Parts: sequence; structure tokens; C-alpha cells
Amino acid sequence: MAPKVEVHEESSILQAVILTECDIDYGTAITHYNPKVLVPLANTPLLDYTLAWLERCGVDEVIVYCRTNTHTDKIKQHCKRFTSRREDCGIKVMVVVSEDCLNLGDAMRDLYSKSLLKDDFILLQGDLVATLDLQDIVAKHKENRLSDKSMIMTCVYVNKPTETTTTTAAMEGEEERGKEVTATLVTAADTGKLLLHRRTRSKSSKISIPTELFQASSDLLTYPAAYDPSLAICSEVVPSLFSDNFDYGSRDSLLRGVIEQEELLGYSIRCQVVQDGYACRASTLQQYQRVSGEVMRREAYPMVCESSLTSHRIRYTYDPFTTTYWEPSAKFTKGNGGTSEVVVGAGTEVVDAGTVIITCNFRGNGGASEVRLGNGGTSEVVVGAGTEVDAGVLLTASVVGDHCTLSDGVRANAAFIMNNVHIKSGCKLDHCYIGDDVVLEEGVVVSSGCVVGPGVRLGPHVTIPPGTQLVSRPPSSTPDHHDDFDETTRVKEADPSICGVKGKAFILLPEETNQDDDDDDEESSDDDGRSSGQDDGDSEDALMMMSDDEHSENEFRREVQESLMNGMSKKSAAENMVLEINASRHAYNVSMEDVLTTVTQGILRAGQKQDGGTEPTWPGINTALKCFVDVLRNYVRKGRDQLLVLNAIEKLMVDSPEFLPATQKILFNLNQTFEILEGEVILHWYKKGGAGTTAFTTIKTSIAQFIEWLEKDSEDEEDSEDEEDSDEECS
Amino acid sequence: MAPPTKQDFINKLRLEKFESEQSKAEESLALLEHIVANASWQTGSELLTLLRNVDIEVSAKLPWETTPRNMVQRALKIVVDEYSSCVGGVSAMNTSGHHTFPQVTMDPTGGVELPKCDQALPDLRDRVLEALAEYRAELEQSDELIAVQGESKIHNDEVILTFDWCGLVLAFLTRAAKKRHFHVIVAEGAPTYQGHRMAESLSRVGIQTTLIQDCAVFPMMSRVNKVIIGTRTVLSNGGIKTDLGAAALASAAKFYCVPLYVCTPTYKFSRISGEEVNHCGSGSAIIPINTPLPSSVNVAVSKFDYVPPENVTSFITNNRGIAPSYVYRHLSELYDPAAYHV
Repeated sequence: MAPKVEVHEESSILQAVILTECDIDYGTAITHYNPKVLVPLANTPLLDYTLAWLERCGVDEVIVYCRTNTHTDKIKQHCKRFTSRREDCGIKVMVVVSEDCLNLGDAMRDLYSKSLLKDDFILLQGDLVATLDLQDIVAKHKENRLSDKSMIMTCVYVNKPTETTTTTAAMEGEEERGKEVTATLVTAADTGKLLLHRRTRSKSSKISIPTELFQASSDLLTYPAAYDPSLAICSEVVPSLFSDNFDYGSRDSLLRGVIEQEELLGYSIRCQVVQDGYACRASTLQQYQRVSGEVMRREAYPMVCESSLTSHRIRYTYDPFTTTYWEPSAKFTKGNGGTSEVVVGAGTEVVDAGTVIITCNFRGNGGASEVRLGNGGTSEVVVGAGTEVDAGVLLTASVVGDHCTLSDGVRANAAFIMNNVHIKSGCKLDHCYIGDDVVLEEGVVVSSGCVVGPGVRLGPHVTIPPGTQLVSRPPSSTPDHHDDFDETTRVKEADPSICGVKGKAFILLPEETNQDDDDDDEESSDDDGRSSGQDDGDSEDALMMMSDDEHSENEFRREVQESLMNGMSKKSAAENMVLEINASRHAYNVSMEDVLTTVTQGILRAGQKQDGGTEPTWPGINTALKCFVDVLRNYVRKGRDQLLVLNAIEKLMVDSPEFLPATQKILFNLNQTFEILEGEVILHWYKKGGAGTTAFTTIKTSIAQFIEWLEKDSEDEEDSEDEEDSDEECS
Repeated sequence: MAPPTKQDFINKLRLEKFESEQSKAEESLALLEHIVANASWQTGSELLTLLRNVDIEVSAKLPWETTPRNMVQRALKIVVDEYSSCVGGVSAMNTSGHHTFPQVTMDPTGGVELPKCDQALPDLRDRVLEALAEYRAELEQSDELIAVQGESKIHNDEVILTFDWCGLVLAFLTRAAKKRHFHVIVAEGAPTYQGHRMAESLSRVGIQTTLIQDCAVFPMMSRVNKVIIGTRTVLSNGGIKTDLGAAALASAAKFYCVPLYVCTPTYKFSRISGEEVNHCGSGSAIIPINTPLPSSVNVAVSKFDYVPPENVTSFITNNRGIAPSYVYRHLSELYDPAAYHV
């Protein structure tokens, strides 16, 4: 808090930190070859949008933060090119590389130790496309800081209207987006101080707000689902806070920590919900598709497709009537008479602009069978330099890179085609990503959600099922050394049934990419998405990723289990165990309820594992309980917590009924020996019917004896208490 | 003040930090003067190339910005003139020869090279700078020279229609209001609504003002005596390229035979012809915030309007009144014929 005075200085430079290792990835088939931030969106790398925006907003210095991997050099080169284009007199871009940066928290700690951040800075992710007025936001932040010294961070949210009438495809995107990137906010109306921050999880229309918030402030402003572009203006306190609290992993955990321990830390966070301007993260492939469409519709103006963001030259010709962009060197050849297989259906118009012909698709009256194509009325196409498009090609909502050829009869809807791609006649592409140098022979159908990695050959006449990820090299156990591939390692031949006779492609199976846990989870969730996509024939699900929350809960559960097992074998002290669990809790941002449930189940499972056998036995559980009774006691404070413990036990029975025989003993000991559960609470729980899971009936029978005893006991107690009372009265 | 650099100038232009065309003109002239004074060049040709690079860069990046390009061409003309007068004799004849046949040089197919000025003349730099300083003085006076014409162009009890915000028109009307009493109708100029600002400024100087919608110009036109508007660019065919809504206004004026005057300094006269460059904006400019518009609705926003020469009565410039059909003539005086094809 010491260097406050610097805020007054007008000459202080404005810094921004761009994290290139975004929390969510596009999947290995793309990011193995190209870092996410350099994936072109409408033929311009994502990072350029961010840099151009920051430059426009008068940011002086940008720190591009990335992890050491195969892409580091690419990012470095790209940033160098970007600045040298500006003759090094514009925005300064510095690439900071770290060995072991896993999340935002690590990045902040690293930057703090390198002391690169001097003053207030802007923290954002590399996949953000935005046109918000940063200067205005930063000015407000500084003003707030002057009036309130405890304010350390301003989170920026965008209050976007949700689109009401869109095609089904977009609607699903909306839901997906809702899950991932919106947050429920409660702020004090007068100051804008953030009082509650919660990721929007369910689609229910109810929000629960803790009543103590009403005591603190009379006016609350609630945003049920504010779109979170992961943008924050941070003061120099934030990195130090991250480095003091090693368990803060993400910005969410920082928010949670600061809000919950406001009295302790003495810091507060404000938020600004911006109404105008555009901000959207291309976080997943679905979002990528969405942002791409929005950029083509010029919502991110003045960042538009026709002007290059690196050189600012006008690179494309733009036809506002059809929202079509094309590089002047792109060729649109006219079909020579024999238009039998040309796909121009009803309502399709051919616009003739001199030598350039674009076939575009107008679906004003679209029949029911053709509803699912693109965005209804417009074609929204970007065509790169030197690309040749034949007359019979039908493109909607697609991007075609440089030097591609698209032969007659190709239909592409929401296809993202990179550079040097050759697509022969009769191919159909739908909601897919086609990497560099891909060759599709005649009649290839790429279904929705597919990712075709660079260099893949497919065809002729194959159909790729929805959601498939294809790569040109066999996925091996050493994906990091892909350069070493040569004839000796290519023992696996491409399967012609997948990629066609002339094809060369390998399906990237989720199981085969065990690079780390993150990837694994993502892939498997992709897999889930795929199966559901096949079930209901629904394409967009294929790109769905597991939500962050779910992921972190699983991680948390695993971590707690591990620390319990360790603690048991090492006989650690209870307070150390609590510390460890709390650390994981902050790291994964889990609520107290979930912690208690997890700990209860974890202790019981630890007992089972300690025994070695698969069948849980009472002695094993008993030792575990004895070992961790203090840990459990630490979390059980109110009567409600006891109910949570009981519910947790019940839920455990649902998953693993083998615990059933021991239930009675567990409850008895928790009640009598360890005095964690009160008899009354157990009776209350029992009468209410437990947590209402299927296991309750079986539990009911197995603990009937115990309950009976309890009832008797409580009556006795009452009697004895009465006696005691009467005794006291007497004396 | 830091010396102006090409990079800074273009960035400023790109980020739309200039308030008016006048400031664009002045700043680009400052940049050109800086190049002439400080860049290392020996012969006239080298200087011409340096200056032309500015033009090329602007046209590649911001083709709709004509004023800086006009300034460059004006500077090219000055350099060539100074060079020829230095060398004397033959080349001076040559340039004046072009003047006598301006229509020949207007031929767009002739790929004309920059004139050869290969000799290294020691005093060329000073002479060019002197001429540029003269031109700067002319530039700074141009607004004033136009404004003083106000009272001679406007008569008592006339109804004047104007459109959107234009500092020059405001100065023109303000000056006229000192001697004359008249009524001004302002079309609001959606979607930027700068006409509101115009109406406010006009009423502040005591002119009776009525604000109307852009689309309401037609019913109003029958009672209007004169239409006076500003412009962004005067095209070589005598038409103008200006803010959106002007074309409808001009057609309405034509229909009712109301004369339409365009106030413009001579630096807005451009060699480009027709409506070849239209810059497109974003739909967010016209769709109010928080309007749930489905993405299937295609929103096209263009920024400029084109008024054909037949709808323009006359240009009020700092030199004299110029009819649209005489713009070509004026252009050939302003710019070097070779500079038409940079």
C-alpha cells in the first residue's frame, strides 16, 4: 500500500498483462501446432485483436505472459513482428516466459517476483476480442482508488442483451456461454463494491443472496448473469496478494478470498458493468465461431476484417450487402454453362462485381428442411489472398484462408478453413475447423464439431462423424517430440475406412493424450459431448467442454482424498490436515458445504482403503474416524453441518453400498464416542427421511436398532434432565 | 513539441483524433514541411518520392481520408514548380504547357511518372520551404476568407437549410447574421446527431433555428431559399463526398430548384473521382444498446454520401465561387498533372 503517491503522476505508464495460456483450450488437434492466441479469427490471429485494442486504448506497455513450450518462439516472433510494423514507436510488447506457470495465480506470483508491474495494470486473457473504452474504465478505477484506499481491483463485466431469436445453433452457444462465462454479481449500488460473486451454474430463475449483505448496505444492485470477459484493472497490491496466498489459483479464488475475508485483509473489489462496446472471449471453439460471426458482422468495429490489424492496410474488399470480404487476388471463377451440379438452390443470388463473382446464399423463405444453415439471411464470408473459389461453391458464415482452392459443389457452413487448403468438388463442411495444408478429396463430408488438424488428407467419399478430431501424425505416447517422427515410428498406417483411400489421418482419441490432467479431462468431456451429439443428431454439443466448476470439484475431491490418505499413514496432526484441506478448498474455489461432504466421505473411504480390502470393514473405518475426528470436528460447527454429515454418509451409500453394514456403527460412534452428531439431530434427520436418495430405505432398516435406542435414550435424558432441573430448583 | 512523424500522423488519423479537416490539413502540412526540412535528400526527385510515400501510405491504410493526400499533391506541385523555376527555361515551359491542355492530363489511363528533377539544387530546400510557408498562410486564412462571404451570399428574411455539424458553415452563417436577419433549418445528421450541436451553436449566436429530422428535408424544402452545406471532399467531377444524408437533401433541393452551395476550402478539392471509396461503419452505430436484434439481420452502415455534380449549384471557396463543371480546371491549377496518378 506504500507507493500510493505514484497514482497522482500523470506520466505513469499504463501496463497490461495478457495471459496466453488461457484456462480453456481448443483441443490438441489445433493447439498442438499453433498456440491458441495465434489461431486466426477471420484470418487475423486472436492476439492481434487484443494488442490492437490495447494500442487503441493508449496502453503503453503490454506483457505477454506465456509458458515455456514449443510455441513460445512463435509468440515471441509474432509480437516482434507486430511492434516492428509500428517502427517500434507504438505500443511496447514484452514477452515473459515462465517454466512452470499453470494458472493465473502462478503468473501473478512470477510477475511479482520479477517486479515487472509498477502501477495499476490491466489483466486479461489472450483470446479476448473487445472494443471497450479502457481509458474510461481505468480512469474510474484510479478515481475510486483515490477515494477508497482499500480498493484493489476493478472487475469489468459486460451487460449484453441476450439474443432472443436466433437459430438453434446460436441458442445452444448461448447456453454454453451462460454456463462458462457469466457470473452472478451483487454490488453495493452506491459504490459499486462487489459483495457477492458467483459463477452462474444453473438455469434456474432464483438467486440466493445471503441476508447479511442487506445488513451492510441498504442498496444492492444485482446482476443475475453479467458476461465476464475476464478483464480486470488491478492495482499493484493484487500480485503481492497472490504471492502471499499461494493457494489463490484463479481470479475467482482471489475474488472469493478477498470478499470472504474482507475484515481480515482489509481489501475490497469493485466492479464496473459496461453497457456499450463489444467484448467477447473466443474461449472455446463454439465461442470462436460466435466471435468470428460477430467480427464479420462488424460488431467489433473499428476492428473489422477488411483492414489488417498489423499493418492497418485495407486488405479485403467488403460488400456490405452480403457481409462478404474478399482479398482482391482471390479468384471466383464462373461456371461454364454446365451447371448441373451447381448447388445454387432456390433463393440464391449471384452477385457480379466485374470479374469477381460471389455466390451467396439468401434464405429468406427457407423451407423447413434447410433451416439449420448458418444465420438465415446473410452469407458472412471472408476469403483470403490467392484463394480460388469455383462458381458452384456455397459458403455461409465461413472463413477461407489464403491460397486455398474450393472446387465446384463445395458447401461450407460455419467452416473455418485455414491456409493452403484444397477442397475438391462435392465436399460438405459444417461447423468445423480445417487446419493448414489440408486436402479433402471428392465427396468428403465433414460433420459438425470436427477438427481437422494441419496436413491431413481425407477422401475420397468418406464421412467424418460429428466431433472427430483428426491429426496427420499418429497420436503417439510422446507427443512432445513430434519432430522426431520418421519412417521408423510410422508403424501405424492410416485407416482407410476412416480417412478414405487417398487419405492420411488419424483420429485423436481422448485416451491417448495423457499429457496432463487438464488435457485428459478436456478430451474426455469432448468425448461425452460427442456421444450426445450422435444421440440426438445435434452438432453443437460436440464442441462442448466440461465446465470449469465441475472439473475443479472433481479435482478437489481427488486432492482431499489424497491428503487424507497421506495424513493417515503419517499420523499428521489435525490442524495440519485442516490447513491442507483449506488450501485445496481455496485453490478450487469450493463452498463449505461441499468441503464437509467431501471430507466426510473421504474419511470413510480412507478407512476402507487403509484396510487394503475392497470390502469396508468396521475396524478400518474406526481407525480412520479416530484419526480424523478432530478434522471433522473442525468443520462441524452448527446443527446444519451435522445434517450435512448425515447426508454425505447417505450419498456415499448410493455410490458404494458396501458401506451399508457399517452404517449403524458409524453413526453410533459419531454420536456416542466422538460426540460429533447429536442424537436429536440424527432423529430429526431420520424422521425427515434423510437426504431423500434411493439409499435411504436400506439405511433405514440397517440403523433401525440404533434409532430405537436413541429414541429411548433421548426420552431417558429428558427424564433425567427434568430430574436434574427439579433437583436444582429444590436446592 | 516533438517533431511530427509519419507514423504518429497516420496513427492519429487512424484513431480519429482530428477534430476537423482543417486540423488534418494543417498537421499534414507540418509533417510535409518537416520532411522537406529534415529528411536527407539531394535531388528534387528524391524529395518527390519522399513526399509521395506519405500519400501512398495514407491511401493504402485510410483511402477515405482525402485531405492529407490533397496536401501531399499540393506539396508535390510546389516542389515541381520551385524546381522548374530554379532550373528555368525549358522545364518551366513544360509545366505551363500542361496547363494549357488540362483535359489531356486528366486522362486516367496515362501512367504518368513523377516529373524528373534529377539535378541537385542547393537552394531548392529553402525555396520549397518558403513556398510551403506561404501555402500555410493561405491555409490558415481560408476559413476566414470563406466566412466573410457570408453577408454577400445571404439576404434578409431568407430561409437557409443546412445539415449536420460544419464549423465552416457555422462561421459563414454567424458572420452573415451580423448584418442580416434570417432563419436556419438544421437537419440533425443521424446517427451522429451532430446537427443538434449545430443548432445549439446557431441559436447561441442569435440565429432563429429549427431542428428537423434528416428524412424531413423534403417537406421543408418548399420554403427554403438556399441550402448551404459543408463537405468532406470535392471530387474531380464536381460532385461531393460528405456525411450521410446529404444526397437526399441535394435531390430535394434539386426538385424544388433551391440552390445548393457548398462551403469548402480549396484543400478539399481532390483528384479522386466518383464515389469509388465508401467506408463502412458498424451496425452498433445505429442500433441502440440493448436491442435484441437477431444476428440473422444484416446491418449495413455506410459512412459517406455522394452528391452528383448536377445537384450542386456552386462551391464557395477561399478563392472564388466555383461551379462544379469548373472543378477540373481548378484542380489543374492546384496540383501537378503528374501527381494525378501517384
